[in-house]
Amino acid sequence: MSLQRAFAIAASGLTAQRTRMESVASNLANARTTRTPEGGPYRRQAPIFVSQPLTNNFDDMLGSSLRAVRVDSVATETMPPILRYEPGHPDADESGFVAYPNVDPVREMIDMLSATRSYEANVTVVRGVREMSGAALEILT
Amino acid sequence: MNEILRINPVEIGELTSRAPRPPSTSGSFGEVLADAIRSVDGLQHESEAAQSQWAAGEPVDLHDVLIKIEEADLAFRTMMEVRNKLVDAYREVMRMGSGG
Repeated sequence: MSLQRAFAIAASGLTAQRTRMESVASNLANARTTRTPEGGPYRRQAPIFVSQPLTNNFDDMLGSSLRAVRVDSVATETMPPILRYEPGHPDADESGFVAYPNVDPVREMIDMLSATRSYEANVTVVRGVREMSGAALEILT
Repeated sequence: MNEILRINPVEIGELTSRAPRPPSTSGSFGEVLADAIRSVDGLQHESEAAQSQWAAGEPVDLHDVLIKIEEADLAFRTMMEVRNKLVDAYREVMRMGSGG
Protein backbone atom coordinates (compact mmCIF):
# COMPACT_ATOMS: atom_id res chain seq x y z
CA MET A 1 0.00 0.00 0.00
CA SER A 2 1.61 3.22 -1.11
CA LEU A 3 0.20 5.28 1.75
CA GLN A 4 2.44 3.19 4.01
CA ARG A 5 5.42 4.92 2.41
CA ALA A 6 4.14 8.28 3.66
CA PHE A 7 3.70 6.70 7.10
CA ALA A 8 7.24 5.35 7.02
CA ILE A 9 8.76 8.70 6.00
CA ALA A 10 6.82 10.58 8.67
CA ALA A 11 7.86 7.97 11.24
CA SER A 12 11.52 8.48 10.32
CA GLY A 13 11.02 12.22 10.80
CA LEU A 14 9.47 11.60 14.21
CA THR A 15 12.42 9.43 15.22
CA ALA A 16 14.86 12.10 14.03
CA GLN A 17 13.17 14.84 16.05
CA ARG A 18 13.01 12.56 19.08
CA THR A 19 16.77 12.07 18.83
CA ARG A 20 17.20 15.84 18.61
CA MET A 21 15.14 16.22 21.76
CA GLU A 22 17.32 13.63 23.51
CA SER A 23 20.48 15.55 22.68
CA VAL A 24 18.85 18.78 23.93
CA ALA A 25 17.98 16.98 27.16
CA SER A 26 21.53 15.69 27.43
CA ASN A 27 23.00 19.14 26.79
CA LEU A 28 20.74 20.90 29.28
CA ALA A 29 21.24 18.26 31.96
CA ASN A 30 25.01 18.52 31.58
CA ALA A 31 25.22 22.28 31.18
CA ARG A 32 27.44 22.50 34.28
CA THR A 33 29.14 19.11 34.15
CA THR A 34 32.88 19.40 34.64
CA ARG A 35 33.78 15.73 34.78
CA THR A 36 33.25 13.11 32.06
CA PRO A 37 34.60 9.59 31.55
CA GLU A 38 36.60 10.95 28.58
CA GLY A 39 38.12 13.59 30.82
CA GLY A 40 37.47 17.32 30.85
CA PRO A 41 34.07 19.03 30.82
CA TYR A 42 30.98 17.77 29.00
CA ARG A 43 30.85 18.66 25.32
CA ARG A 44 27.67 19.64 23.48
CA GLN A 45 26.03 16.81 21.53
CA ALA A 46 24.33 17.40 18.19
CA PRO A 47 22.65 14.77 16.00
CA ILE A 48 23.63 14.57 12.33
CA PHE A 49 20.81 13.66 9.96
CA VAL A 50 21.20 11.95 6.62
CA SER A 51 18.51 11.30 4.04
CA GLN A 52 18.19 7.77 2.83
CA PRO A 53 16.12 5.90 0.25
CA LEU A 54 13.00 4.39 1.63
CA THR A 55 13.63 0.73 0.79
CA ASN A 56 16.45 -1.63 0.11
CA ASN A 57 14.61 -2.73 -3.01
CA PHE A 58 16.74 -1.61 -5.96
CA ASP A 59 13.81 -1.10 -8.34
CA ASP A 60 12.05 1.12 -5.83
CA MET A 61 15.25 3.09 -5.28
CA LEU A 62 15.51 3.73 -9.01
CA GLY A 63 11.88 4.59 -9.42
CA SER A 64 11.48 6.89 -6.49
CA SER A 65 13.33 9.93 -5.25
CA LEU A 66 11.53 9.80 -1.89
CA ARG A 67 13.88 9.93 1.04
CA ALA A 68 13.35 9.15 4.68
CA VAL A 69 15.59 10.69 7.29
CA ARG A 70 17.99 8.74 9.46
CA VAL A 71 20.14 9.77 12.38
CA ASP A 72 23.65 9.25 11.07
CA SER A 73 25.34 9.84 14.40
CA VAL A 74 25.24 12.05 17.43
CA ALA A 75 28.34 14.16 17.09
CA THR A 76 30.33 15.77 19.88
CA GLU A 77 31.00 19.42 19.22
CA THR A 78 34.58 20.61 19.46
CA MET A 79 33.90 24.11 20.75
CA PRO A 80 36.45 25.04 23.43
CA PRO A 81 35.06 24.96 26.97
CA ILE A 82 34.19 28.16 28.79
CA LEU A 83 36.74 29.06 31.46
CA ARG A 84 35.46 30.61 34.65
CA TYR A 85 37.65 31.82 37.48
CA GLU A 86 36.64 29.71 40.49
CA PRO A 87 39.81 28.97 42.47
CA GLY A 88 37.90 27.06 45.18
CA HIS A 89 36.43 24.55 42.75
CA PRO A 90 37.96 21.06 42.98
CA ASP A 91 38.27 20.95 39.17
CA ALA A 92 40.05 24.30 38.88
CA ASP A 93 43.42 24.28 37.12
CA GLU A 94 46.58 25.71 38.68
CA SER A 95 45.62 29.28 37.70
CA GLY A 96 42.14 28.87 39.24
CA PHE A 97 40.05 28.46 36.09
CA VAL A 98 37.31 25.84 35.79
CA ALA A 99 36.41 24.54 32.32
CA TYR A 100 32.64 24.51 31.91
CA PRO A 101 30.76 22.99 28.95
CA ASN A 102 30.12 25.33 26.04
CA VAL A 103 26.36 24.83 26.33
CA ASP A 104 24.13 27.88 25.86
CA PRO A 105 20.77 27.20 27.55
CA VAL A 106 19.04 29.77 25.30
CA ARG A 107 20.29 28.02 22.20
CA GLU A 108 19.19 24.66 23.63
CA MET A 109 15.70 26.00 24.36
CA ILE A 110 15.38 27.26 20.79
CA ASP A 111 16.56 23.88 19.54
CA MET A 112 14.00 22.21 21.78
CA LEU A 113 11.16 24.38 20.44
CA SER A 114 12.27 23.70 16.90
CA ALA A 115 12.39 19.94 17.54
CA THR A 116 8.93 20.03 19.16
CA ARG A 117 7.42 21.93 16.24
CA SER A 118 9.07 19.64 13.69
CA TYR A 119 7.74 16.63 15.58
CA GLU A 120 4.25 18.15 15.51
CA ALA A 121 4.61 18.79 11.77
CA ASN A 122 5.44 15.12 11.21
CA VAL A 123 2.50 14.06 13.36
CA THR A 124 0.31 16.29 11.20
CA VAL A 125 1.60 14.45 8.13
CA VAL A 126 0.61 11.13 9.74
CA ARG A 127 -2.83 12.55 10.51
CA GLY A 128 -3.14 13.80 6.93
CA VAL A 129 -2.24 10.40 5.53
CA ARG A 130 -4.81 8.82 7.82
CA GLU A 131 -7.46 11.26 6.62
CA MET A 132 -6.56 10.51 3.02
CA SER A 133 -6.88 6.78 3.54
CA GLY A 134 -10.17 7.33 5.38
CA ALA A 135 -11.40 9.34 2.39
CA ALA A 136 -10.31 6.54 0.07
CA LEU A 137 -12.38 4.07 2.11
CA GLU A 138 -15.39 6.34 1.59
CA ILE A 139 -15.30 5.36 -2.10
CA LEU A 140 -16.93 2.04 -1.36
CA THR A 141 -19.58 3.28 1.05
CA MET B 1 -5.78 9.09 -45.89
CA ASN B 2 -4.37 5.87 -47.31
CA GLU B 3 -2.13 5.59 -44.32
CA ILE B 4 -5.10 5.54 -41.99
CA LEU B 5 -7.02 2.97 -44.04
CA ARG B 6 -4.09 0.60 -43.91
CA ILE B 7 -4.39 0.12 -40.20
CA ASN B 8 -5.25 -3.51 -39.53
CA PRO B 9 -8.77 -4.19 -38.28
CA VAL B 10 -8.77 -5.33 -34.71
CA GLU B 11 -9.73 -8.96 -34.39
CA ILE B 12 -11.59 -10.48 -31.54
CA GLY B 13 -8.83 -13.00 -30.92
CA GLU B 14 -6.30 -10.22 -30.58
CA LEU B 15 -8.45 -8.43 -28.01
CA THR B 16 -9.01 -11.46 -25.83
CA SER B 17 -5.33 -12.37 -25.89
CA ARG B 18 -4.52 -8.87 -24.68
CA ALA B 19 -7.15 -8.86 -21.98
CA PRO B 20 -5.55 -8.54 -18.55
CA ARG B 21 -5.11 -11.79 -16.78
CA PRO B 22 -4.44 -12.28 -13.14
CA PRO B 23 -0.75 -13.02 -12.50
CA SER B 24 -0.12 -16.74 -12.64
CA THR B 25 1.21 -16.77 -9.09
CA SER B 26 -1.98 -15.46 -7.51
CA GLY B 27 -4.24 -18.34 -8.56
CA SER B 28 -7.94 -18.25 -7.80
CA PHE B 29 -9.97 -15.46 -6.29
CA GLY B 30 -10.20 -17.35 -3.02
CA GLU B 31 -6.42 -17.53 -2.79
CA VAL B 32 -6.10 -13.82 -3.50
CA LEU B 33 -8.58 -13.12 -0.74
CA ALA B 34 -6.81 -15.47 1.65
CA ASP B 35 -3.49 -13.74 0.86
CA ALA B 36 -5.03 -10.34 1.55
CA ILE B 37 -6.46 -11.52 4.85
CA ARG B 38 -3.11 -13.04 5.79
CA SER B 39 -1.33 -9.74 5.15
CA VAL B 40 -3.95 -7.89 7.23
CA ASP B 41 -3.43 -10.47 9.97
CA GLY B 42 0.33 -9.97 9.70
CA LEU B 43 -0.07 -6.24 10.25
CA GLN B 44 -2.30 -6.92 13.26
CA HIS B 45 0.37 -9.20 14.73
CA GLU B 46 3.07 -6.57 14.09
CA SER B 47 0.95 -3.98 15.82
CA GLU B 48 0.32 -6.28 18.78
CA ALA B 49 4.02 -7.11 19.06
CA ALA B 50 4.90 -3.42 19.05
CA GLN B 51 2.30 -2.75 21.72
CA SER B 52 3.57 -5.47 24.03
CA GLN B 53 7.16 -4.30 23.49
CA TRP B 54 6.10 -0.81 24.48
CA ALA B 55 4.19 -2.12 27.49
CA ALA B 56 7.17 -4.22 28.56
CA GLY B 57 9.32 -1.10 28.62
CA GLU B 58 11.53 -2.07 25.70
CA PRO B 59 13.16 0.85 23.91
CA VAL B 60 10.65 1.30 21.09
CA ASP B 61 9.45 4.67 19.90
CA LEU B 62 5.90 5.53 20.90
CA HIS B 63 5.16 6.99 17.49
CA ASP B 64 6.35 3.79 15.79
CA VAL B 65 3.89 1.81 17.94
CA LEU B 66 1.05 4.21 17.13
CA ILE B 67 1.82 4.20 13.41
CA LYS B 68 1.85 0.39 13.40
CA ILE B 69 -1.56 0.43 15.13
CA GLU B 70 -2.79 2.91 12.54
CA GLU B 71 -1.52 0.78 9.66
CA ALA B 72 -3.15 -2.33 11.07
CA ASP B 73 -6.41 -0.44 11.61
CA LEU B 74 -6.32 0.93 8.08
CA ALA B 75 -5.65 -2.49 6.56
CA PHE B 76 -8.43 -4.02 8.65
CA ARG B 77 -10.93 -1.33 7.66
CA THR B 78 -10.01 -1.77 4.00
CA MET B 79 -10.56 -5.51 4.34
CA MET B 80 -13.92 -4.90 6.01
CA GLU B 81 -14.99 -2.60 3.17
CA VAL B 82 -14.09 -5.27 0.62
CA ARG B 83 -15.91 -7.89 2.71
CA ASN B 84 -19.02 -5.71 2.96
CA LYS B 85 -18.96 -5.17 -0.79
CA LEU B 86 -18.69 -8.94 -1.35
CA VAL B 87 -21.54 -9.70 1.02
CA ASP B 88 -23.67 -7.05 -0.68
CA ALA B 89 -22.97 -8.64 -4.06
CA TYR B 90 -23.78 -12.09 -2.65
CA ARG B 91 -27.12 -10.89 -1.25
CA GLU B 92 -27.91 -9.24 -4.56
CA VAL B 93 -27.34 -12.55 -6.34
CA MET B 94 -29.39 -14.46 -3.76
CA ARG B 95 -32.34 -12.11 -4.25
CA MET B 96 -32.43 -12.85 -7.99
CA GLY B 97 -34.21 -16.17 -7.55
CA SER B 98 -37.12 -14.78 -5.55
CA GLY B 99 -38.16 -12.59 -8.48
CA GLY B 100 -37.53 -9.41 -6.53
